Order: sequence, then C-alpha cells, then structure tokens
Amino acid sequence: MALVERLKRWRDIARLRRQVRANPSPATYAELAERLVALGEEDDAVGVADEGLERYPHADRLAHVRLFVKKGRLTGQIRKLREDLQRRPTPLAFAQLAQLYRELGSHDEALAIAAQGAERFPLSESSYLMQGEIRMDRFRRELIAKDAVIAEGALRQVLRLNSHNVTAHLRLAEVYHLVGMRAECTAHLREVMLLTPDAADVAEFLAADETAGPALPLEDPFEDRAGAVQSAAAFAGNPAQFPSPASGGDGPSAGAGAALDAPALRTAMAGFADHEGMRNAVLLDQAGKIVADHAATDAIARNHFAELVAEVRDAADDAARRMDQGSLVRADIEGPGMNLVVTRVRGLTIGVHFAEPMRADAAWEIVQDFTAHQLTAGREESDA
Amino acid sequence: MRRILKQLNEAVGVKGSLVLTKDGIVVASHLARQLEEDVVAAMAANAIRATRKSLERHGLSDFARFTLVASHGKMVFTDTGPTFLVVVMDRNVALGPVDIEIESAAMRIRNMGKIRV
Repeated sequence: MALVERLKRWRDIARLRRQVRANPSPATYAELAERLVALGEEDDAVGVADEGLERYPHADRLAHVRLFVKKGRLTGQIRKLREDLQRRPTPLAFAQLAQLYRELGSHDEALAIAAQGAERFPLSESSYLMQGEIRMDRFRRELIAKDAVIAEGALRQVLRLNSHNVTAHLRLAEVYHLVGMRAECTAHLREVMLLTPDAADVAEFLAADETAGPALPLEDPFEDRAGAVQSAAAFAGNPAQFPSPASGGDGPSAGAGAALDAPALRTAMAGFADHEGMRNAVLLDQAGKIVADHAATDAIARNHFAELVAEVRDAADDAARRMDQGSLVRADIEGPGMNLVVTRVRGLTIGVHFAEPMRADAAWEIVQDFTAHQLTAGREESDA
Repeated sequence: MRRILKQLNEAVGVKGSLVLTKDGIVVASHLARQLEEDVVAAMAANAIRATRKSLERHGLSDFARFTLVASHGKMVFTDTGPTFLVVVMDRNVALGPVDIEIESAAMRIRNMGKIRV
C-alpha cells in the first residue's frame, strides 16, 4: 500500500515537473513547490522556489513558499529566543533573534529587535552591529542613501563602544569604498590589518590602492556622497574589488549594463495585442527611453504613456524610499474603467494599461511571463 | 476613526494605517513605532498627489486604489471620499486576506460622511 502511495506521489511530482518544463509560469512553479512542501521535501521545494524566483523575481506565491519553509525551520529557535528575552534579556539574545529574522528576510522585524536591544543595552555593541549589517545589506542591494547613512552611524557607534571590532571596521571601510571615500576606507582597512595582520585580501586591496596614488579626504559630507550613489544608481567604488565581501552582498538589484535585444523585445511586446483589454504596454530602459511598446487603437499615445509610467514609477519609488520601505517593485493603480501596473525589473521599467475584460491578475501574469522569457533570456545571452 | 484604524492594524502583517485629507492633513493615525507619522503622511500625500496629477494630465480617470509593493513593505492608498486611507504592511504579507480588512475599513470611513477633527 505504502509503495503504491509513494508511486502515485512520485508520478504526481513528475507530472508537475513536466508541466513546469513545458509551460513555465509563476503558477506552475508554485504548484510544484507547494506540492513538494506538502510531501515534506522541503529542500527540493526551496530549490524549485529559488529557480522560479530567478525567472519571476516578483512572484509572491513563490516567495511565500520559500518563507514558509524557512519559517518552519526557524520557528522553534525564534520561540525559544523570545521566551529567553521575556525571562532574562541579554544583548546576545537580542542579536540572535534579530539575526534569525534577517535570515528570514524580515528586515523590518530584525531592525526593530536590534533597536530594542540597543535601547535596553546601550553599552553593548551587538545590536548596533546588527543594525549596521542589515542596513549595509540593503544598501548593497538597493543603493538607497538612507540605508548607507544609518549603517555608517550604527557602525561608528560600534567602534565608539569597542574600537577593536574588526567587523565594524571592515563594514565601515566597505561603505566608504562604495560611496568613493578612499581615505576613510583605507584608514579603516589599516585598522583591520593592525587587528588581524593575516588578512591577506585586505593587504592586497591596500597595496593595489596605494598604486592609485594618495587618497585625499573629501570635503563633501558622507550623506552627500551616499545621495550621489542613489541618484546615479551606481556605486562610486566597485563592490567586487572590496576584500571579504559580506554574506548579504548579492549585488544591486538593478541589472546595469545588461544588453537588450530590442527587436526581440518589440516582437514580444507586440504580442500583448492578442490579449483583449490590453491597451498600452511599454518597456523603458534605465535612461527612460522606450525600448518596446504596444498601443491599441483606443489607447493613450505611446509617448504620453511612457511619460505616465515614468512619472508613476518615480512617485512610487520616492515614497517607498523615503518611508524606509525599500525601492519600488510594483505599483498597481485601479480606477473606474482602467488599471495601470508599473513594475521594475533589473533596472528596466515595464508599464501596462488595461481595462475589462482583462483582470489585474491576468495582466500581472502576462508581465511576469514577458519578464521571464525576454529579460532573463536577454541577460543570459549578454552574460555568455 | 481611530477605532477603525486600530482594528485594521490587528490584521496580520499590518504595520500601521492613517487617514489623510486630499491635501495631506492627517485626520487619524495608528502606526507601529518604527514608522514616523510625519514622514508616512507626507510621502503618501505626495505620491497620491503626483499620481492623480499624472493620470489627469494623460486623460485618465482618478484612481480608487493604489497598491505600492516595495522591497521591504507594501502600502495601499484607498480613496475614501474626502480622505484617503493609507495602510502600511509587511513585505511578506499576502494581500488577499488583508484586502478584505482594508475594504471593510475603507467602507466604514466612507460611511462616516464628514470628517470631525
């Protein structure tokens, strides 16, 4: 009986895997991942979710599967640490709990716990270090000036409490490197060398830096340098050159420099016309130029639509950043008789305008398919 | 109105909510500690104003609802007549179940008719 049952399950999984290969979409990936979770194959489920998220970076259902599995694994530890904090709070327990939330990707929760730890134990460096590291993760990924400024403040506070903290020196050096403050970066790396003389990669970096000539302290304040990084959407110093990259350093989410196959994108976007209710679609490059678009007969003029998409993107992105919610992923606007979706993928902006009978979830699927088939493939080609 | 917001904030993943007039004045708010009321209100009002202006300029009707998904949070701005309901949520929250709570709160705010500050 058990064998028959196992065989049935295996056939079911095999069918779902075939479905993913034949018709990849956020829904087929999610169905497979969810089934694997139900069967207790959690590692496989995370693998499938990761693969799906690589193609469809904004697929909420896949992100939930991954979070569910991770949460399941960490729930016991979180509960225990929360109980410890109730009974006998220590700086270490605050830092450990914040670290668990960081691993789950709940940065807000992690920052809130680190802030509580810092408030409760102002003379302990661990909570400040956690705040600094989380903000650095965010700065590396999203290049938001506010994250850099808070990271720098928190890391400096760590060094005020313990000037021998190597991690804080290293992360401070990194943030200065990323905003182009060479003198400050090398000063902290020299401290790292004094504390850990065997750090070969740091010694190498310093030697290479010396060949570039003397590093003069800059007059403009750190906030302005970080602001310049945000405005340019590019780091002043190359993150890959920095020694000992941190674990959270998976690079900026913007795919700067990826070559685009404009004719293929135009052909693919022309296919949007096949969907009833789809009025406008546009793909803008990082400079805001139209790469591909589609406009139905009753649609907004193409240039006007591109302008509208860029304006909505900028307003939404600015609001999200200033509210400390990160950068824009997607904006959905619903009004009487019209819907607008604006999303950003790898530094490119996609906007669609649609009306009945097109439904919002169907429009979002179309956009995600376009992203996965056109932008991921284009990126792979350019990387090859 | 504060009671409505308090109830809304009990939904899983909601970090805070506030009601704004269309020119950005806060009528009522209930926000988590990490959210600054002034910043959230100013930025929400700015995003709403800028988006409405853009839609109008390009010949589109006003919006009833604006959902903003960012890398570390989600926000929903809902038209509630003379005001807007602004809800800030965790990034990982599934919008479906919270939507019911938001719509219910929005309807109750709309039904309050006029604003008493």
